[in-house]
Amino acid sequence: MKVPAALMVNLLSPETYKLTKKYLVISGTTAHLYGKEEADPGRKMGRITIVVDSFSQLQSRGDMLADFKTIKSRSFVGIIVGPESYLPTMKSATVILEKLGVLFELTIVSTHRTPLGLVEYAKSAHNHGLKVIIAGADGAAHLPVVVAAMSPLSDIGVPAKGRCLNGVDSLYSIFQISCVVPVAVVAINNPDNAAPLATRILGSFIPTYLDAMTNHMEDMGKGVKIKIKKQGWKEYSITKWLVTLIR
Amino acid sequence: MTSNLTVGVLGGGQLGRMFIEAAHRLNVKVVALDPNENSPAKQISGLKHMHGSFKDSEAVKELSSQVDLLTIEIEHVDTESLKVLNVQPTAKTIGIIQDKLVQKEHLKSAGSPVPEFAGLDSIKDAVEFGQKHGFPYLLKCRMGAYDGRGNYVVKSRDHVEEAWNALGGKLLYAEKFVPFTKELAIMVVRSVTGEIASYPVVETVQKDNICHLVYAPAQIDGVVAQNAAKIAREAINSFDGAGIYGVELFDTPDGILVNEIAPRPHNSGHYTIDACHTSQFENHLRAILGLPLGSTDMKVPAALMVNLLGPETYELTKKSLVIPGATAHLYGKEEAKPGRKMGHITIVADSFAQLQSRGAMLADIKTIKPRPLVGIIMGSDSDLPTMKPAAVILEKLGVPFELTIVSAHRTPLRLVEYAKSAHHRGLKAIIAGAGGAAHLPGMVAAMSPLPVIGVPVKGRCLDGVDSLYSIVQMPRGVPVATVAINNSDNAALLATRILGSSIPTYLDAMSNYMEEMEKEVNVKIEKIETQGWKDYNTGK
Repeated sequence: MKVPAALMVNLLSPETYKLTKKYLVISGTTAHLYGKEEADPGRKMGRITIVVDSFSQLQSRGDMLADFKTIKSRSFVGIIVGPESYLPTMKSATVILEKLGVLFELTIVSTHRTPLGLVEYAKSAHNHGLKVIIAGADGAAHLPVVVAAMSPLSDIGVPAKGRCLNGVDSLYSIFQISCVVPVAVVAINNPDNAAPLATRILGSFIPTYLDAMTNHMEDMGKGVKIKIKKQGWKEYSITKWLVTLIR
Repeated sequence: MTSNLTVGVLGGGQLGRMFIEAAHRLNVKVVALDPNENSPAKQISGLKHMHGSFKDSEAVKELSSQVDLLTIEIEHVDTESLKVLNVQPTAKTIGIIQDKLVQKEHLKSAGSPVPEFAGLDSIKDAVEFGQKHGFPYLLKCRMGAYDGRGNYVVKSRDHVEEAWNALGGKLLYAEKFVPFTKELAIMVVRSVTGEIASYPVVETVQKDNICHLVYAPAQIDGVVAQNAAKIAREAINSFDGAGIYGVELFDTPDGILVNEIAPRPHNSGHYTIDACHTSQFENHLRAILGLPLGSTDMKVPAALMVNLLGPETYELTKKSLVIPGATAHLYGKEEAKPGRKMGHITIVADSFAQLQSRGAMLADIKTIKPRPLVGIIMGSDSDLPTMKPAAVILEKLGVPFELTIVSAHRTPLRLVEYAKSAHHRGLKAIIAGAGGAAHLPGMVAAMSPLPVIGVPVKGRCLDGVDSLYSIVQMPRGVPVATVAINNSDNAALLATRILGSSIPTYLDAMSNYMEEMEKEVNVKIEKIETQGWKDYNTGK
């Protein structure tokens, strides 16, 4: 394929022209009419092909496509965690990906307990259709690094704060890797940043996600502006900020 | 929309042929008027076409009586007879554009940037123009010129008479020679409803004054391209009438200049058939019928159009059949006379790197420098030795990049400008290296929606841990992809992986690179086994 995704809709008599006109306003639409006279209902009168930058874009054109059965699209981002205890922390990444309309899958892959599963996952990720991997691990955090060593995809490492050393152990394990295997490291215990980073990586070539990211950044700016205007400093409640700090 | 609309087109060459292809898909009938009974447009539809000259007012009237609306595929028509007929674009617009001097005067008065020009009545005028604006300059026919015919380069005062006589000595004008860096073109479409849209800016390469190659999109700064598109749309908005227009531009060190306008589908827009959502031909039809315009965006990352001229046509067509992404469009012309446009080939690709290698499979064609996809920036020139390995790796992997200094603390406004414009300029990822209170990567990430890779540079104190923490511990919502201290190699590899997630060419480059690494280690394993560990020399 020379485009990322396409949808073909058959135009059946008798609504051909009404539908054709409706579709012409959708970007990426090409109509192919067959020059037949209107005839019995069900006759193939033509077809419409819609080309999009991603399956998400196809779904975001939902207004025009409301009557169509949508299908679940393939995941772009794979989130994996070493220790299952880290799942709750990693969930914040899923919330952001969901908000930004990025399709993802989430699973447990442990370097030290399921090493063969890890090999299988890393080696096949790009063949399955994944474009970015987010890997979270703590302590002697090898997961993101080993994945990066076996997959040609972009790999984002989230150092988790374990029981000791405040996560600096995880940070150094992920980050000081050899000269030839890159992992994109984000802040300790900050999967929130892995999700927008994955979206940015998709967005560098998929306009839908570049727009999603731009809007997300604008929303963040607006959020701060609201805080600036709020209450006055004496009554200002910073509970949320404190919670974040403690977490 | 109804299925029984008929459009009449003056001219039945390859442009008419491709117009009919587009109209057919919408059940719109097209009747062509052309003197050639077997012209390219007439061959592909079974309708009863008209044989006769599109300059003959009686024939044009007869065609008009048979159809709902007239349009043109060539501007050298009789505009007098069109004035009373239903035609798009309007007879007035065709009239202005077909006389190149009047066209230039119109554009100048509309505020479009054009090269210096002047109408000439005598050889004396021609000499004076050269004395005022310098030699060489261009002497041009006002009417009927195309594909470089009707143009003459006046090299010096001594050549004025020669040029004057070569062009017939009447209806001539002079144009100052423009020292352009690139020839650009852009298709602009405006509907009878007033809706206007422009296609991407492309770079054209001429051979013997005939369009030879079209690279899309033009590998120029994206912000410059946006400006060029604005100039082109403004120029077209100064004319009446609906349809597609080809706007040829010069990119010069002093800015964009408008060279020429065609009020019809244009050779520089043929790539749109295979590379854009809606082709120039379909949008022309939509525009003159008042249908909503189709998206003018490209649906593929890169495209190259190669014109097929004269006898080499069939050999090139044959070659193109085995090139992935290549589509041949032959025009059905009988005689492959040298220089005659017989068809074109469009090659699409996932990147400029792939496009150029596919183009090379077709012929020895001029390659152009691709626009950078990755921007490497550093806070200070002292970071250059640390950041250089990134550049070396990108070069090795065939990733086009740019490298410059942007300091968060000493050139803060430049930082804002760089970060804000990066994705508009065409960059896909940014690598930022900084030391100490390393704010550069984080600030760029705060202002650009692109992925930003931070390289912590080891400064004089604290072993680079200061830089690391400054870069990696970004607040929630603003991510920086951090790599190891002083390890710009990994930043380059990560950038390549980012490109690879959407461009198969770079995914392959990355897979190959990883295989090479494995091989290197395998060689070492063998060496250590044959030599024994005692004598093994690490060389380091």
